[in-house]
Amino acid sequence: MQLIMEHLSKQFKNKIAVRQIDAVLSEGIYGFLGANGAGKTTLLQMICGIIEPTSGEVKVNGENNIQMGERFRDMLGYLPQEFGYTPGFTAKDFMLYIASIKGLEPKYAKRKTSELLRLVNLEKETNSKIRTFSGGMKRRLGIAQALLNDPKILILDEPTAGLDPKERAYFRNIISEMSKDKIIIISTHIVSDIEYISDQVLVMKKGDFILQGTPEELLDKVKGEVWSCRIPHKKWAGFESRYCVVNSHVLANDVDARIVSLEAPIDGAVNVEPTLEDLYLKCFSDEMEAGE
Amino acid sequence: MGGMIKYEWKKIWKNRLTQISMIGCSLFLLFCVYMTIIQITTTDENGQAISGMSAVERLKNIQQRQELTQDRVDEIVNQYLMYIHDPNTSSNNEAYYYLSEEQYKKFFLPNRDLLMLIIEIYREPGRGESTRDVLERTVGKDFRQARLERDLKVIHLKEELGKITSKEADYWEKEAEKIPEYQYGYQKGWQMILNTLSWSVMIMMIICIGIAPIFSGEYQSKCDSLFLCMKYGKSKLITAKIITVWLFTTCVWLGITLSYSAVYLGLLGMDGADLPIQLAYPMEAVGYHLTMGEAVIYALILSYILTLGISGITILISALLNNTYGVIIIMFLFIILPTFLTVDTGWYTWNHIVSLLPSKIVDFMFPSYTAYSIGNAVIRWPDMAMIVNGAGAVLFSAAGYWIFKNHQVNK
Repeated sequence: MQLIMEHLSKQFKNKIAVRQIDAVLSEGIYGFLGANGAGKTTLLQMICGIIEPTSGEVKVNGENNIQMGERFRDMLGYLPQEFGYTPGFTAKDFMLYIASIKGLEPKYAKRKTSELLRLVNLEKETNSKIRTFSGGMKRRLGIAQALLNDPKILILDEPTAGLDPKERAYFRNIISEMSKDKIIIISTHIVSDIEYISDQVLVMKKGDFILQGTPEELLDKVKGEVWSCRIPHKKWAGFESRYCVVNSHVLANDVDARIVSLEAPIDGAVNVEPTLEDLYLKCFSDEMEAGE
Repeated sequence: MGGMIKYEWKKIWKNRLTQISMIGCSLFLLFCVYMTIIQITTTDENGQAISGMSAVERLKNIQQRQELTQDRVDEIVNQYLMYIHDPNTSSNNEAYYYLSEEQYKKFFLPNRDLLMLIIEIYREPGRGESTRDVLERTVGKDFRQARLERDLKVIHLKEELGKITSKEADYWEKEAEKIPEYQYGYQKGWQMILNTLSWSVMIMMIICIGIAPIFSGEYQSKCDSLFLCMKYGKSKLITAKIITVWLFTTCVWLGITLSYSAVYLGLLGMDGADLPIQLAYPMEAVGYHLTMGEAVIYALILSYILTLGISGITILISALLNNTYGVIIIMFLFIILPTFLTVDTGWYTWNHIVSLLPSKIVDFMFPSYTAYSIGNAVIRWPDMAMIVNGAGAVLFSAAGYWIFKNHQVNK
């Protein structure tokens, strides 16, 4: 199965949210990494067919997603960034309601509902109203509903927002286990969500993919550029504006810093193994500076 | 589809606002039913005022079924004139209809509906005669002919005032000729239901509250992006939502209307279903050739279809707006504002357009001669309102379907 994005663009009035994106995705886990406002959500909404592209199209095995209609939506599981729910419904009612919209047989829907609520640790909350749920519980319910129809294309927009570290780790394991024969797209700005489970990472900036590859390929791009160093307090003042600082820890006499730079930022700096977070910060350091 | 309808149905009823408005409306209508029954008044054998269920029992005894043949009408008129001419039972007090206070309470008040029916048929429109003069002038005059002449005069007067066209006048003249000899009798239960037509406006309002979130609620809660990318999110789900709206409308309308109608018929009796609708409006000419039972069914069907019309518009507005309260406010304005617009001004077109609005059911009464001329056909006001609102319900629902289906989530 192939999910193809051809010259995909979306413009809202004067703002271009997504510009001329071309990509071909086949079975595997794809991490869409980008800062807030990079255009990730808009791109995912176009893939899902809930907003029309200004130009270009999304194809599944060569067929336009909108024209496929129900056949396309039947293979889709989607967790939106802002997960809508019916507050007065219990978790079970909501899942069965979603199952009916997904066209699942009632018997199968009931079995699948119990199974998924167990999977996302909401088994005890089956008959509790969603309005009483915490943010993390709602997010887990959102993940469960996306999996109801055993989708061939699973799109998760900020799936770990509101989950605690233990839940995030558990979520990563679930996704990793179900990736066989599926295209899974995880959109996030939290690098650790995708760092170890993605087959491909696509870094999105200002509506375009600026980097694309396996995590190892991407890490190669910053190999030799990540430094660990200790900077005396009196020199530290200018560092943050001149370099891309990944981490800094203020000590008694100096600052222990992790810096991305083509050259050693200071004498004695030690070249260290890069991570995707280093790459991410390098890519978006200009936006962070503008933000500051 | 059944599952989706079940959950849409559940969604509507789980809404606190729906629950509160439903309870509030039911209590209010219960109060209204109680008030209308205790306000039924008449006098007993001794002329003492009685009200409520005692009055109902008394009216059932007094208003015996009878055919208003010429002989019977003459008998009633002569009896009344006899009281007016007898110094022991008469007075010059017009408020007591020229009867002594005692005779007024013993004879006139218990027979008020029957006497007014006869007097108003003999009274010439616009002549300003006293009741005594009317009866003295017309005693023995053919009652059926007088009824027809009165109706024709009313029709011609409306034609002269430009409220109906000559073609519509011809139609009503023919209808007036079809009305048979009057049967008289007790029909309070049916009459009370007819008087409650304006309550439909309240039912329309609570239905609007219930169905306002049908689409707008999904936009507001961000469920739209979830549903629209599900297999049936752009097809069966929308159909299920619209079917649920119609089901909800039907059930709420039926539940409330049948409940209070059953209370009225249970307490006041089902007698008089086959009596003519003209008895419900003794002071006015009525061009409809219907029995009380038929008129009640006809009026209730009108109320139901106009309520469906409101549901259709609510579906459309709900698909257009992303705020449920916005939908409710717009629909309330759409329901309430037209009730302040008169349908009796001089401008024919204005009257005829405004009359078709669902909430103008408050102005509909069977004495109305409003009709619509389309080609060679003349369509009566309620028939036309049913056609327009029924078609509107379907068209607006279809428009709502199309809008939600093509909704762009990021707009």
